[in-house]
Amino acid sequence: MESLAPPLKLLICVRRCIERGQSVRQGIFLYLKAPDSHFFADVNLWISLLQQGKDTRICLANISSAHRRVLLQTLERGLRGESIQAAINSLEEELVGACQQEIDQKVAQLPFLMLIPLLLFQFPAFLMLLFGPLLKNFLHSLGGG
Amino acid sequence: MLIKFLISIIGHAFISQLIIRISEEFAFTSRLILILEICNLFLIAILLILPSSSIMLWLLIGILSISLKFFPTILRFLVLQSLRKSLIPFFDAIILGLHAGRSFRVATADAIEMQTPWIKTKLHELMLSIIKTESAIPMKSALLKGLQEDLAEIDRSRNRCLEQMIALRREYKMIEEFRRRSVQVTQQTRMQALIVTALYGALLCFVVIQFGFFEHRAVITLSLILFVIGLFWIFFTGKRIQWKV
Repeated sequence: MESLAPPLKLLICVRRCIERGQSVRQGIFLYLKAPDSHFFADVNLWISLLQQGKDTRICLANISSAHRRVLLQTLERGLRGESIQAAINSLEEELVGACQQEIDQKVAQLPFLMLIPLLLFQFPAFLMLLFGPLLKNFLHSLGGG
Repeated sequence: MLIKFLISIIGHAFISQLIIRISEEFAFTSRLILILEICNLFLIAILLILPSSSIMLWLLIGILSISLKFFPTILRFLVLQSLRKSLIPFFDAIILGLHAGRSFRVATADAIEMQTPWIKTKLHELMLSIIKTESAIPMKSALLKGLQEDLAEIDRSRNRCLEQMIALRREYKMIEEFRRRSVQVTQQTRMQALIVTALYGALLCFVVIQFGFFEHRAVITLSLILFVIGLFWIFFTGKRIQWKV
């Protein structure tokens, strides 16, 4: 999670290409240069389906995140020749907001998630290490005494 | 005494070579090189004067050399961190230069001059490889590689440089902001693992010293297994955190 969210990365690549006067396709291929997550495979499949002139609806339906789906649908419109600059800009704001919300949610959840291994394994390990030899010595002295 | 002297001379020459190699890479000032060389000389002289065997001297020279061998890796990491931090001010300086009516290359050259020596050297190399594409220097770090590509793209386009630089700065600012916030999430898992491991290590040492290992090996092994499972769980939790957006 130590980088940008994959759809935001794709969006930035496309926006940067549009701002340079390049095409949406070039932006997508710029993103595909550096594989980073599962989304890379989805984009790869989606673009190859588009290049073959096949229907991408099933491929898009398999993507669980609504943000990713909408982004690919917007890019599809751009690949068809429609102007998507305004849509990309508003989508970027949406994505940034969603990413910030997700980080906040993860930061709030993490302490509880980290308690599970601590309580189930590490705390008993500490107790065992601390009291195990003590108890053994105590029982031994009782038996021997 | 003669053997000790010879060893110390060889050691001094070896460490001196390492210092020169590091200073070339990180563009140390001549004053800093002089200070490091004097420190090296003093250290070797003290080791020579102190009543120790030649094996001890070899050992100390070896430790020093190994430390210096790993020093560039650590320094490179630290300097890259500082480069990451100084990128936004660097872009600000380029944008100001462009606002003042300078060309992209002149504005970039002026902005590079404001940086610290190592960053200046790296950015000079980067700019040189942009200007002279035939003498392009391959960048090792992903950060410098990305920066090289971005600046080369702006340089090649030769129009709307200011708008492109402003867009680039906005993008880097956003990436930096997200990187800082998302690192918070993964760092928490790493810190917990580190602190718990340090505590467990200390307790394990205490128990082994106080009660002995062989008498209580079953309890210690079982506790160790439990602890390692917990540790793996923590790392697994950290790894499993993925973007859902």
